[in-house]
Formats: sequence, C-alpha cells, structure tokens
Amino acid sequence: MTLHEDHAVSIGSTDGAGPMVPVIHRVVAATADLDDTTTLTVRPVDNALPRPQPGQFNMLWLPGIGEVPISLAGLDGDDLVHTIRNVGAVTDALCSLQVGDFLGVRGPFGAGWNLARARGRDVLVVAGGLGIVPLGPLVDELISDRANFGQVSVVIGNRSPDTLLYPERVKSWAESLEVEVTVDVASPDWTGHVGVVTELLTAVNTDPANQIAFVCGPEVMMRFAAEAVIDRGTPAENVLVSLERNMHCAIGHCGRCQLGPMFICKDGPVLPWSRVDPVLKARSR
Amino acid sequence: MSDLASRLSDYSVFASLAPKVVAEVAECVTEVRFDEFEQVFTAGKDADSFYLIEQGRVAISVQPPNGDPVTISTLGPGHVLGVSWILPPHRLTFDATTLAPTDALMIDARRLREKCEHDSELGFALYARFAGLIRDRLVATRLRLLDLYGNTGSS
Repeated sequence: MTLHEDHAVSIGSTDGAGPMVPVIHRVVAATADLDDTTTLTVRPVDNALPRPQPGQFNMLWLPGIGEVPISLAGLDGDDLVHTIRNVGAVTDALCSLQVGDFLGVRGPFGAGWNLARARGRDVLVVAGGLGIVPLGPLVDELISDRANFGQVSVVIGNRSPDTLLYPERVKSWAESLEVEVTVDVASPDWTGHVGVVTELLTAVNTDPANQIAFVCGPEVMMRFAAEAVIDRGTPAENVLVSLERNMHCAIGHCGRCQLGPMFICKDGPVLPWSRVDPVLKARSR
Repeated sequence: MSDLASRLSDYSVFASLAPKVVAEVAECVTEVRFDEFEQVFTAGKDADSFYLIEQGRVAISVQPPNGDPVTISTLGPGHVLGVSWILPPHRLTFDATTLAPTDALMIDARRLREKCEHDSELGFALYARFAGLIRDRLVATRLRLLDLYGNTGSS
C-alpha cells in the first residue's frame, strides 16, 4: 500500500501528537547503497519531530504493512536519514519507496551514544557490518567537535570490500581520524586488512585506560569486541554498545524488547557493557 | 633493559616475561626490511624463523591450483608473523607476502628452539605465550566462520 499525501495526513499526524502517533514524512532522496540496503532521506510534511541524537532510533511506519525500528543514520537540517536493510516485509516495502512517497515516523526514541561522556578523552569506535549506521552520526559529530576529544580511532569490520556501507564517507573520515577497515573475505585487489575487528584493536593508538569505546554490530561481534577492549584496560562501564531487539511500542510499555530488567527501547539501545554483560551471561546459562 | 628487549616487550607474546627470558630471545633477533609485494616465506618450507612486525602489512595467503592467491588474513604493526616454528614438524603452512614496505624483527627460530630444549623456563614461557596467540587466532577464525555480517537484520 502506498501512502498518498491526502490520506497520509488524515491517518498520521503532521505536528507530533504524541509518541504513538506517526508524523508524516515525504521521501526526498532514496539511494540504493547495496543490493539489499537503501538509504532514505525523509522530510516532515509539516512540523518536525524533536531533533534525534546519534544512537537513537525512529519507528518507520507504512500503513497496512507495518512498523519497524530503524536507527538514525544522519541528519540534514530537519531531514532524517535512515539506512535500511531489506530483511522482511516492512523493510522490503521501505526499501522500495521512491522520492515523493510518504511514510509515518515516530520518535526519536531511546538512549543515544552520550558523546558528552567522552569529552576530554580518547575515543574508540568499533563498527561491524550494519553497525556502521548508528555510529555514522556519532563519527560525524566527533569530527565537527574534534578539538574536544583526544585520539579518535575508528575500526570497521565488514564482510567484503564491495559490501562496505558509505565508502566515500569512510574515506572522508580518514582525512581527520585514524580509520582502519578490515574484511572477512578479500577480493584479489584488496590491499587493506583481512580478519576480524578484534585483531585490529592491538594496533589502534587510543589509550585504553582513558578512552570511551562505542561498539555496534552483530551481538556476537560486540561481545568479543567489548571483551577485547576491556582486556586492554578499559573499564566495562566505558564500553558502550547498541543492542538490537524487536521494538514495538518504543516507549517501554509493551515489553517486546525486554532484556532482563531493561527495556531496550527505553533504557537502550545504547547501554554500557557493565549492564549488558551480566544479563547476556545469565540468559545464556 | 636493552633497546631490543624493550622492543620485544611491546609484543604480547613477550610482554611481562622475566628479563632473562626476553634477553635469551633478543640474542636471536635480526632486523629486516622487505619491499612492497615481497615474499617473506612460502608454504611447505621449514619454519626456521618468525617475525615481529614493526611497520607495514603482510598478507597470509594460500595459492589455489588455478587462480590468484587467496588472502586469509593480514598482519600489521604489533603482530607476530609465523607460529609454525614452535610446533613439530616446524613446517610453514601458508604463504606470506608484504602488501607495503615492512620493517620487522626476524627471530632465528632454529636457535631459539635449541635454547628452549636446554632451558625449560624459557621453553615453558614461550609455549604458553604462543599457545595463547594460537588460541586468539582460532577464536578469530571461528568468528569469521559465523559470517556475522551476512544477515544482521535491519539497522
């Protein structure tokens, strides 16, 4: 079902009527990043939602199809940028949207990266696969506010060189930050790193004892990355990870995203490893 | 501590070892430099040396019967190149080729093995450290087998 402007306004909201009412946005740019991944830039038809922080997420809604939580990939004035991987019916429909189409947006929700904690310290950013999406706006902010941080190192793990998201953006990050990319499977012409992200952590120039680490990627990768960072001397409370769960209401009411005592939509998605580790360990017993 | 011993101690396999142990290793060191795309060692040869990379990058690869070499992993500053020297039959398993000009400390593994034969403290220390290194590489290999980034859900 396609949402047209006339009935979009009648079944959604254009002025932010509450956290459960989608605000109608129009697609102003749609870029196919990869075969299965698309970036949408969406603009509010009327009033904009509150400005999201890096690490927060929005609920993107298509009537008759469904609603999914999608991390903020970037901001461009009032325009929201979301990168979506096609993994099901709703994301398939979202990835098929064209410029001029409409969708509903609720948000922003959850706890973001809390970059203020990192001021005056070194910063280590560890991204795996699609984990680069919620970390992208964080890195952009680190660059725009560069003088307030010490050594900043970005380590990116990916399946292969040709499936790296935002290759031009990553290249621009490398102009002002230490950026290392490693892939699981190299093409013959690839002269960069091959291996898992944890193997690069011994080579970065941040001070483990005086750094905040921001980690996002598949949960298994985050566990090994967090443990490797902690083994090098970073306290667990200074290792922040972004968890992915099946958020539904996004305001901590429905319980769909509950993990131990936490609602990931409200208490997270960004949480210190010191809170996440005991819950994941208890769950796996 | 000598400059060489200090440089050895920057590597996790030698960090915090007894100065006596590090000094024994230091006696086996030669500084070497490789050009870009230079073969460091070849699969099937005797593992009579291993390397501590100080600068540059090295690809560990395997040569299929037909086609280009396949890079399995890369190593850079702070990494140890070569673990076959410590385990019988002391034979290299993969090819190693530089991807950039590379400076390294080359360890004479034949000499170091002889030292280990006669000094159980040295031998135990090195076996324990290299077992840890081999474990780390096994973990990394298993993580890659999971193909973690193949299907990670929506963002």
